[in-house]
Amino acid sequence: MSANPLREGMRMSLVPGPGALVIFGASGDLSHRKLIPALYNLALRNLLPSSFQLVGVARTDYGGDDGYRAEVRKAIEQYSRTLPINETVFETFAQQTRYVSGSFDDEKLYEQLKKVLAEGDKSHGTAGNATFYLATPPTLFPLIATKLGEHGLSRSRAAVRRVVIEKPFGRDAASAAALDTVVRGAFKERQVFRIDHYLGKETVQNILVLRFANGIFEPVWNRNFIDHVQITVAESIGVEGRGRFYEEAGAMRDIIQNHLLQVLSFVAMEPPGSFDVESVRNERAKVLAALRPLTPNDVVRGQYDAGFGGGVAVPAYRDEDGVATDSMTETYVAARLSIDNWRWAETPFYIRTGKRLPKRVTEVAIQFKRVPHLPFSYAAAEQLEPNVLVLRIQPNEGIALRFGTKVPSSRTQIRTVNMDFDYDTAFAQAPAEAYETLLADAMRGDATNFIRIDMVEDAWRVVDPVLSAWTHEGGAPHPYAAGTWGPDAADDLLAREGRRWRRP
Amino acid sequence: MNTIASRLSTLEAALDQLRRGTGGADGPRTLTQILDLVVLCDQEREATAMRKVLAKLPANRPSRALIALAQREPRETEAEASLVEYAGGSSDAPKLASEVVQLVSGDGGVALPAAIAGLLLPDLPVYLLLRLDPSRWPVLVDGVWPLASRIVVDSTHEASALMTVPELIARPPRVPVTDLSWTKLTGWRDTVARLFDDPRGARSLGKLTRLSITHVGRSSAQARLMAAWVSSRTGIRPRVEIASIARRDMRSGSLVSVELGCGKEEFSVHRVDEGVAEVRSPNLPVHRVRLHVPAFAELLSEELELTDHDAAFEDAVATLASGFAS
Repeated sequence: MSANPLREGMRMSLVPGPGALVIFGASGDLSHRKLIPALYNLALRNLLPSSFQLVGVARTDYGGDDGYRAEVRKAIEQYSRTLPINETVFETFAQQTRYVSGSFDDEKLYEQLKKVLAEGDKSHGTAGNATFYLATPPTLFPLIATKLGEHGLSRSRAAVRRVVIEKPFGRDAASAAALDTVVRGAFKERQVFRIDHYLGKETVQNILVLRFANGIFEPVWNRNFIDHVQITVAESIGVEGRGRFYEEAGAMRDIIQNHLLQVLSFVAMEPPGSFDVESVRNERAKVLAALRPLTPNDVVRGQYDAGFGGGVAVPAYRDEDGVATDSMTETYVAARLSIDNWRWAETPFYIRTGKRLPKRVTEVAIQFKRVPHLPFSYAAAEQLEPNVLVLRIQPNEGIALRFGTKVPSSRTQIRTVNMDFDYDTAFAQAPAEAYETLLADAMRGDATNFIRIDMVEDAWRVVDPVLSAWTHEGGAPHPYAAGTWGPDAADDLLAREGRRWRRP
Repeated sequence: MNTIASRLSTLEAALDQLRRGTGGADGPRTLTQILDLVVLCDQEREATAMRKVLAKLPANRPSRALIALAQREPRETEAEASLVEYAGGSSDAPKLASEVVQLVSGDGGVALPAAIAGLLLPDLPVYLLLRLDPSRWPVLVDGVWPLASRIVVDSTHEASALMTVPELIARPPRVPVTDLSWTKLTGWRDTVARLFDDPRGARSLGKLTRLSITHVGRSSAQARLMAAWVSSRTGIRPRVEIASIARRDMRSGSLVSVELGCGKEEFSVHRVDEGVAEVRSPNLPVHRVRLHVPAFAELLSEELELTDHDAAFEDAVATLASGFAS
C-alpha cells in the first residue's frame, strides 16, 4: 500500500502531498500581502498537508525562527481575508515555519537551507519534497535559480522539487529567453511554474466552464456570430507609491503582455480534448501563437494627467513620486488584436487597460452580430443594440446577457435589457483568493493555471514590435484626464471600424 | 420574517407579494436560484426548527423550501408563505431571499406529494430532507421520492435511519442518498487521512489491526460509519472497539477519539476542545489541528452543494450492511 487509500473519494478539496514551501523574498511586500495570508487561509481551510513546512528566506535578520514567526503573524493580522486569527491553526502553522536569513549570492545560505529542509523532513515528514517560490525582484531570479541548481536543491531522485516564478518573466522576448536558459539550467520545464495571479481567479477559470459545459454558447462562439470582443482591465488607482517600479514596466508590460493576453487565451481557445494540464495549456498556447504581432498602428498608449479619482483631485502621472517629470511611460494601452485562425479570422479583439480610469473593473464583453434582417419598423427597433455577453471577472463577479425585448404597450417597441447572473446572489460564498488557489495548485504539481515558456515567448512576440517602436521611434503617450475612460485616440481606434468601446 | 397564510390556490400570488416587498418588507428581494428543498417532518417543533435552520444556511440557499408537516388525524391542507432573507456579501449586494412554504396536511400526508409537485420551481434540482422515519410514512415518501434529485437523512437524529439507509440507497428510482452523520465526519476523516499521507504512514496503514472509536451518548451512527469508512477504503477488517462516554458539552453521537493500531505503531486523533484535536503519529510531532464539526445548518448547506452519488459513503454503508462494526 503506497498511496494513501483514505484519500480516495474524499470530499474535501484536493490537499497537496507532503512537502515544504520555500519563499525567497520572505520579507518583501508580495510575501506579506499575498503569500503568507494565502498560506494561512489554506491552513484554515485544511488545505495544507499535515506534513508541511514553510521556510522563509530573505536578507532581513529577524533574529531566527521566532522572529520570523512574529512577522508572519503580523502579515496575517494585517492582510488575511479571514480574521481574527484562529489560534489553533496559527499555532500549528507557526510550528511548521522556519527562517533562513542571508544574502542570495552567499553559498552558506543555500547550505543552511538544505539543512533546514532535511530537518523538516525528519520533524514534519515532508518527504524531501520542496516548492521554491521566487518572490524577489526579477533581477534576482537567475541568481537564485542558478544557486539552487549548484547546491543540488533543484533536483532530487526520490523527492519532487518545483520552482514558482513571479511575473514579469523578462522585459522582452530576448530577456525572457535568456532567463529561461538560466532557469532551465537548474530545473526542467515541468518543474517550472510561472505564475500569473489572474489565472487563479474563479471567474477566469469559469470562462472555460461557461464555454465548454454549456451547449448554447460554443456553437455561436466564432466569427460567424461574434462581431468583436472587448477585454477591459481598468484600475481606478494610480501608481500608489510604486512610481519607480512602474517607470520600468508601463501598462504594456505590467498588464497587456501577461494578464490580458492570458485572459484572451481562455476566451479564444479551442475546446480541449480533456481537462488535463497539457491539453488545456496546448489550446491556450495555440491562441497566443496565432496572435498577429501588434504594430504601432494597432495600439494607442496614454498617460494620465491630473484629474479626479473617487471625488478628489489627483495628480498627473508625471507628478507622482519616483516618476520622471518627462516620463514617456504609458499608464494606458488600447489595442486591436487579430487572431489568425479559422474561428476568429477578421474578428477583432479590442483590449484596453489603464490606471486612474473611472472605476476598477475587469471584464470580457462578447459582442454578437446584428440579426441579418429586422422585420420591425425602424421606429420600433431604434433603441435595439446588438446582443452582448459580458463576463465580469471583478468586481461583482458574474455574467450578463443583453438582449432586445418588447416594451409592454399596445405598439411594438423594442428595448435592450440585461439578464444578469451574479455569483454573490447564486452562491453567496466568498471565493478563495487567487493566490490560495495557485499556491495549492503549485504544491500539488497542477500546472494547468500556470504559464508555459512557449506561451511567454508568444506573448512577448505579440507586444515586442510596439515596445521596440516606442523605444526607437519616439513619440509620446496621449494624455488623458484622470477619472476618464482614456484618451480620445482610443475611441478613434474603434470608431474607424464603426465600433465603440462599451462603458463597463 | 413576513408570513402570509394562504390556500394552495393563492399561494403563488402570496409569494409574489412577498418577493415584491408589498407584504410589509422594505423593497423587492432577489431569489437565490440554485435549488429546491423539500423537508418532510411529522413533528411541529421540527417544522419550526427547520425554518430557523433555513435562515442560518451559510451557502447553497434554496430558491424555494417546502416544509411539509404530515399528521395522522384528518385535516385539510394548509399553507403558509414566507421569505427568509439573507445578508448579502457586500453592502451594495442585492437583498437575497429564499421562499419558504410550510404545508400542514392530515390523513398521513396523502395530499402532500401532489401539493409539493405543484409548488416546485421548474428545472431546479430537488433536495429531499427526511426528518421522519420513512417506514412510518410510506405513502408520503413514495409520492415524493420520484420528485427528488438527492435524499438527505440524519442517522444521528433518527435512531433507525442508519439501518434504513441501505434500503434507501437501493430504492427505485435510484437517487443519491446521503446522511448528515456522514457529513459530520468530514473533518474527522480528513484529519485521520492526513496521518497516512506521507509514504511511511501509508505503509503503516497496510498493517492496520485495531480501530478504537469513542463517541458521546447513545447514537453510535457516526462511530460505526467512521469504522466502516476506514475498512472499506483499506480493504482491511480490523478489530473494532466502539465505546460511549457521557459528555454534557457535546452533542450525542459526536466523536471524541479515533485510534488506529497499525502493527506496533499507534496513530490517533483526540478531540481536546471545541473545534480542536490533538494528533499523534510516529512520523510527526504531536500537534493540534482545527477539527471543525459544523452545526446543523452548515452540514445541510454542504449537502445541498452536491448532486451526485457519494461512492465513499455508499461503500461505507455497504460495509456496515455486511455486518461489519455491528
